[in-house]
Amino acid sequence: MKDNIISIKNVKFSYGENAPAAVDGVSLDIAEGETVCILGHNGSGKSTLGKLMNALLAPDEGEVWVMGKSTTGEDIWEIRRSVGMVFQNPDDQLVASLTDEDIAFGLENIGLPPEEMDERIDFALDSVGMTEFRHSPIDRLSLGQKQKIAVAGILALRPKCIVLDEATAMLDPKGRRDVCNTVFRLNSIYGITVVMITHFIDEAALCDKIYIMEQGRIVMGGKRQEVLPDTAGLKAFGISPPFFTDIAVRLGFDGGLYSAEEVAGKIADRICRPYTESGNTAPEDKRENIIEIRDLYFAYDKEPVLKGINIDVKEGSFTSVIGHTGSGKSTLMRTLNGLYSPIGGNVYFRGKSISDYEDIKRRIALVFQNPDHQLFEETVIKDVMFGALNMGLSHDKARELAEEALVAVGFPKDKYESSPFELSGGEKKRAAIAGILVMQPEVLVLDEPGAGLDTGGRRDIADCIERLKKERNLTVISVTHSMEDAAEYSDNIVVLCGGRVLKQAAPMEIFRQSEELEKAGLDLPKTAKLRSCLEKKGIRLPDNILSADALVDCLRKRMS
Amino acid sequence: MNITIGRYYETKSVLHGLDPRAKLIFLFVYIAGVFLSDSFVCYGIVISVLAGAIWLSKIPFGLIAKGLRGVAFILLFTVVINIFFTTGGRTVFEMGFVRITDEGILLSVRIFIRLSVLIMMSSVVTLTTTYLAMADAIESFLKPFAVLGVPAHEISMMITISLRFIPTLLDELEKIKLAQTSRGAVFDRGGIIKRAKSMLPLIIPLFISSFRRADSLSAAMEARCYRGGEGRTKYKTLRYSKNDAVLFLFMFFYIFSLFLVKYML
Repeated sequence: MKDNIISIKNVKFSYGENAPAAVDGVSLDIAEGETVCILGHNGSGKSTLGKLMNALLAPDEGEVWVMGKSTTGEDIWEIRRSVGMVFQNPDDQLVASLTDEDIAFGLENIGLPPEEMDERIDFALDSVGMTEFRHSPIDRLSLGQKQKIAVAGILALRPKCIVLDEATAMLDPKGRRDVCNTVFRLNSIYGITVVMITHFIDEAALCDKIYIMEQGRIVMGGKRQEVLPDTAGLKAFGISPPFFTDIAVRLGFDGGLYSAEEVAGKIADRICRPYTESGNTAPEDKRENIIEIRDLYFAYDKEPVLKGINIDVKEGSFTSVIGHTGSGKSTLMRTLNGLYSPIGGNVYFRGKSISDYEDIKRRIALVFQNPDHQLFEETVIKDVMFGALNMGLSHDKARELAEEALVAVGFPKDKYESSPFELSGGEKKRAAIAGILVMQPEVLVLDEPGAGLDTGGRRDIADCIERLKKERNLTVISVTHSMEDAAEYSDNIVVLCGGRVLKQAAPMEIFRQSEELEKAGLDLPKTAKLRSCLEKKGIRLPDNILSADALVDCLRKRMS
Repeated sequence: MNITIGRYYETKSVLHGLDPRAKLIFLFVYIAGVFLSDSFVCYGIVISVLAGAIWLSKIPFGLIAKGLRGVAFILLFTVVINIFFTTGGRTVFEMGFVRITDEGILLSVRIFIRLSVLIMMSSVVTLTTTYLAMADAIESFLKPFAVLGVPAHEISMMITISLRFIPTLLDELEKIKLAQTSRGAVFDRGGIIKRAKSMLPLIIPLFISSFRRADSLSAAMEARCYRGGEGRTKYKTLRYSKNDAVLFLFMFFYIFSLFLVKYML
């Protein structure tokens, strides 16, 4: 048995005397060199637990021991040096304007002689693979790169343990993978203990041990091989189990940690009717075009960001726009209703140029990524009314529409008069969508509706949008990083890459071939991954099967 | 973004390599020189020094000129005030109660030159100096006053952090503006009170986000063992180099020549 680097004994903590306990009687031992995941929803107390581990917070009851030293004692500086912490938003933790100066910040704090700093900075940058950015302005780095600099800043202090407090939550899939790989490499090379606080099950699956937190308690935990296959247990706490394991269990196989190939292999052994009749194609879409984008160019400076975009959006359709960071997705959304004026080409709404409509911002309405950028009023209901009042409606009419909109997004009735700043992440998102819906748009444009939410929250918002679309007969355009959501909800997918449309087609067509997606630096959705593995084993499924549920249903019928 | 003061622009020029203290002293001396100037020969010297600094900095002129755009209103305002309200001198143009004199024109041209060179030189200095270097310089200037109870380290840390967050908050403001615009908010219509009120949807989210950022940042700093100036070392200790000596020499000549022009010619 290795020594425990962190030992938590019956710890309770609450923010303020009357506040509910954020951590409510947790005991946990973390051995040196382990990788441990604390998995839980937003608000489950997992971040608080992380802060207790490096003495940023002191427990109300119980004790936290780090390398044999109590976090309530004299040694907190020693503890903070040994247990480094990387936070969620890289912009809120970097202090200096240049990479090396930022990494030096921690070294200056511990009073290291300046002569020794360069060596440590070189080492830290090398370990995170950022040596070429040694003297770069931090402004110019991507979020993922910034986060690696934050890791380097911790690493320079030569910690025994790194706690990642949702350090990947704001990154795109590529940045997320990059940061994870970096941290796990540090674990395998230098034996640094890693504590990963996250709500991504795929990240949890990388760790040796997984602990699940809910309402301040650890409700489930143990070795990865024990926790992850228990899909029923995970679901009971509202956590979606790893995709391929879940499919396997639903098809009646033993729970285990599977890759797509392994599950495909198991299915192939038991399949009776391997071949489908024929590949069916998408039926022709006869709906009218509501938006037509023609030869659209846009530039912030000299270099255009959008280079000749052509897109058709059918009335009543659900269009997903996918592409990696920097492909021009968000910019494109902002040209749709004239927030940004194109330098070439045009956007047409119902056959007429958008500049011919005075109220185009109302007809094609944008929901931005971060609800904190729009909520400002004293109460939720007032905030939602803002858009309607701007349209010149009377107070009573605005209130009526606002209430309707809040009901439509499923916002809890008892919180209409609450301050929008006291809401949970999911509630804020709903209030923000209601604030747009109140203007009675014809096209709803959403920029990464799931951003910043945990898995359950993402799911709820996606379902909410799907329902709105049906109830209000809306046309929806959604920018997303989630291939799964794109596959499941949309009937039209636009793949953007480098400011150009790589492909526009129905999901089944987009995900049939992975070449375009690879070119755009995107992953296949997991269902499509499994399908392609099955195909290699000679099992073809109908093309329209894109969601997990449909996949399981279809396979069940074919298996003995 | 129209504000160039407070941003850093890397070109690895000679100016970037100078000691920030030398640069700040230079800026101070330069400004003193500008206010000393009263003839067009003096302005010639002042402007050529600025041109030289811009050339040495290798920063595109467009970027420095952009800094003027941010204060264009103040610039225009002072110029207009001086043109219309200077009464001395020969009348050049008269119509109704509007009277423009040659003295007024001369004065406003001077003010225009003064203000714009000041702003451009400040931009050159800030664009070539990182926030941390700047804060270090200020800290070292304040250090002698620490015995009098001036919190030199805290002040410099505050400056560093505020400067570091200016670009972040400006980006954020832009996003908030877009989000509110798409909810039909209008910011530039109506009287003063209406306008001030229409700023609330911008200011409140920005404030709240700043507080949140401050909160996260302080936790992150503490987690990296920050506990004030005591026992802290410096990664880059400021050291004057040969080039700084050249700069000090140059400052001397600069002031000397301005005095020469002013009192001898």
